[in-house]
Amino acid sequence: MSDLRGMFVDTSICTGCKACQVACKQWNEMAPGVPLPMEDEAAVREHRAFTGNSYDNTGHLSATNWRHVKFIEQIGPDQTTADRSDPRWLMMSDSCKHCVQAGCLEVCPTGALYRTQFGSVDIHQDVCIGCRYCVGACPFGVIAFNQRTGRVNKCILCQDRLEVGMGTACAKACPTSSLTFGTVSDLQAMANDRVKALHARGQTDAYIYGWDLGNTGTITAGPNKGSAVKDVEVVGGLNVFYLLLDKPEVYGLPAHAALPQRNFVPSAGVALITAAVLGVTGLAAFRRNRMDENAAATVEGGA
Amino acid sequence: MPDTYLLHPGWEWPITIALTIAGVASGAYAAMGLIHFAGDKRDQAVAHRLAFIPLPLMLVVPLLLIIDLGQPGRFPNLLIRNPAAAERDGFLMFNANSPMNWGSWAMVLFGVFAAVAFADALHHSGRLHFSWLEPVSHNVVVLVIGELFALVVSGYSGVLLNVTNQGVWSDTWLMGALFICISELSGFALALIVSDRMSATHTSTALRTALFYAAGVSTVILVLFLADLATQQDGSLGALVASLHQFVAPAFWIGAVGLGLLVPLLALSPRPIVRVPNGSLALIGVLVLVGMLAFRYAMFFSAISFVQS
Repeated sequence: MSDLRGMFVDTSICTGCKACQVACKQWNEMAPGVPLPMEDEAAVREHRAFTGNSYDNTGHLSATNWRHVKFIEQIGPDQTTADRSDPRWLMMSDSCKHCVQAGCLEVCPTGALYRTQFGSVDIHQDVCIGCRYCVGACPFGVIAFNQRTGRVNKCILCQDRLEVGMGTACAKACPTSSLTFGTVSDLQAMANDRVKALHARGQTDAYIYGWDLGNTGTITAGPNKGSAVKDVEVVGGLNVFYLLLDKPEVYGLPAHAALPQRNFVPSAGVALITAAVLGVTGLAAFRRNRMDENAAATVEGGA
Repeated sequence: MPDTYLLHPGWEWPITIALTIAGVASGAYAAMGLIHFAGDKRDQAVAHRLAFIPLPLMLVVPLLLIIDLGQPGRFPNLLIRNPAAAERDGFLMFNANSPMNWGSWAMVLFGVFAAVAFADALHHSGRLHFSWLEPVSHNVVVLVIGELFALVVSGYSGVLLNVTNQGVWSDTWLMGALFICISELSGFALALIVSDRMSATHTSTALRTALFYAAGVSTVILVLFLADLATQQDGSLGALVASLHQFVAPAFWIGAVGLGLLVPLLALSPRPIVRVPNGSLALIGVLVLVGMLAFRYAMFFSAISFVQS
């Protein structure tokens, strides 16, 4: 357990500076991309267009954006009214969560996706065939197909840096310590302390997304004001986990993320039963045909 | 801000066509096996003619998959472990948690049985003589094993869609069952075309009943599928209806429901609502085949519409 590395993302102190995005792109030598007008359909499809959403200029994670800072503007209790009371601006630096039970890794048919010695999920680029099954299997929309290479890409938790004893580039660049790199057990303790400290200060909406550390709270602002929240553990835990201040869906995170394999045995079982029913009806059709012919022959013989 | 952000795998037409062809091949093999098992001597000529179909179709499938992957050199990684994937043991690549791996191996092994059936058909046609093959190709155990691989080829792509986190696809457990139905209907439709063209009246009569029954079972599965989506808490039925409204609607309602299910139900019933003139059973078979292609297309693209809606 102590060897597992991960990150704790404290959204309560994220300022949306995007230093993490820049550091990620720089370390991994990814092109910055030039935003194009929204009218350019190809640009929109390839996530190169202006988003028109707050200060967000990359939209979401993609093959060339392994980290993405989300901006969520909550102005007034309901954005359809003129009430502009209780405004708040939530920000979150998102990336691959390096799930303890990773759907992408589970479905990979070539072994290209693998678990590293640090517990993170990495990709052998020369083994990936670009089948894109992992893209559909990820419950967070993290892993993405790279049109240029014909393979998939995502955050690899700076595997090359970890192998030489360094931390992740994004955490190194974060000026507010919103991103903290370390061992998962240490980070869990730090996250738990942080939630309790925020609650003690009256910010009772803080809770952990990724591990259930037993914290509960109540949202203090925004459209969900008054709603209860509590720590959420998904897919066996997340090695990159979050302190959130509103419901997971507000941040574009699923409240009940699950492994795609949950459907495997039931689906295969129902398919087998259906095949058996179809086989029986096929045999019945031929048997009926023979019986009809025998009956006709008997009638003819009798006549 | 969206509730939950998902990315779609973006599978395009080569995959849809490849899996449709594989489904037709496995369905044809299943129909051939059924005729061998349940038919009498008069039916065997149709079974031998049907045996010509699966192998050529199964040879086209990898070509389409390679077109989709872009580079032929990548395809073997599905079957033979790339040395760079050092975390996995063994020479062969098999991940039991991945329906895609099950399907890849099933297609390869089904191809062997399709080749045996093809050689046997050549023997019976008198073009080439493989008399030594007959005890193997007509062996019940061999046929049963071949049928099992045909079954996996028929259904794995539906199970594969179920084993994702995409809207519609992963919202029910019935996608595999639907794809089995699609393959079975395709196989019976093809067999009906063959028997009709051979003027094998006896076999055609049995096959039209088999196709009618299969259409009935498929209709029940489709209704259960739609009902299952409707009971979901996340508004999947709304998403499905929206997606059917966009660009899958003609494929689903005219192709899948109309041609694929209603045509055999109305025309092949013991008391048919639509009278089919003698000699036009092949036309019914063609319509059902077109319907099944549309059915697969509608199912594949339902999740794309879901993401875009």
